[in-house]
Amino acid sequence: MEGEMLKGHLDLIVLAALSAGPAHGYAVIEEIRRRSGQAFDLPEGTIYPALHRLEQAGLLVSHWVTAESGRRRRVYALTRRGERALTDRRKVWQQFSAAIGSLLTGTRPRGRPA
Amino acid sequence: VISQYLDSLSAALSFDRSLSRRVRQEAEDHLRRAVVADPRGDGLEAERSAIANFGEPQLIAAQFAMVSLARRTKGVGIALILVIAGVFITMKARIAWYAVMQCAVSDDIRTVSGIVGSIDRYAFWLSVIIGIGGWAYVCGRGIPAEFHPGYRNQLRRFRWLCTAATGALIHRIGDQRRPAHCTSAAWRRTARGVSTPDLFDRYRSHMRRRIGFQNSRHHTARDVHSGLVENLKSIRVLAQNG
Repeated sequence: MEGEMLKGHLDLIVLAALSAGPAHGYAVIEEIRRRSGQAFDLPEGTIYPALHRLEQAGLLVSHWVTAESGRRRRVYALTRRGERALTDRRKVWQQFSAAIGSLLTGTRPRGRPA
Repeated sequence: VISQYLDSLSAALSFDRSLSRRVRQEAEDHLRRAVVADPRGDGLEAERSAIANFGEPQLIAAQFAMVSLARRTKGVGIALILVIAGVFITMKARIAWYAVMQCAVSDDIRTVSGIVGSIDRYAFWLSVIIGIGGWAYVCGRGIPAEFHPGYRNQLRRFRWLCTAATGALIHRIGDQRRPAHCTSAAWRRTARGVSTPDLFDRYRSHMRRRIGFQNSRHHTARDVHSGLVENLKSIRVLAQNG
């Protein structure tokens, strides 16, 4: 899928990937690939600015843990605010997706005025 | 290969050292895991593949620049608010101090009053220096070349705003130091009544008078009160002219 298309929805994608539970950057990428059926193949480094930005916005929290290999890694988790933001954005996306789908197929979305 | 890549990533993030350290650790862990997960094994090709998948250091740094700038701007904003609050509290403390000085004052308190007077005078100059320092800080930060053009324009406008504000402040101070014949009579009349440095000059001469009184040991708090009255008169003139 086009990288530019993904960039506009990167925050939603990252929040959705972390909804399964706390994870470090590499695991977030793996989760995005798995849940998208390998359709989303982002440059892996771009996930970290998004994680930092979401943390700064209060939607994520993070802390260092030491792995078995002895390397330190940063684990990110959704905050309550992040969970609410994910719920809101999911609704907006579903409405948007339905509207675009209707537009492309030529049908009118249900329950919506003309 | 990974170490070289991490060095170049750290160099690209050199505008924020703490961020650079943190991202380096995260990127190293990420790349090592990617190499281990690579079916080709723990070889040079696997490292190159992991680096290629991670992305160009400059592009990643450009995205981090916005995060860093937002955090720093927040910090500078909080610092400015604290400084302004500090100046305000200092000015309020001066007024409270004058109120105290209307009562009988001992020689010990008079010594402290000199310190309070100094704080009062230098608070203004401190705010000027901090303003210039803030401007220099913003101008001196190395923003990556890949920074988004829209943010670059915003930053340029912010610099102009800081320059204009600091310039106006310096002009305001410098103008009071100009010889009298350089200004019109009408302006001089106004400036005598309203200028902050003029208030400081009156305050300074007043303090000198007080020191003279101290030597004779026949002073009272009345002279401080008269200084306050003079200042209040000046403020009234300011209000009338304004």
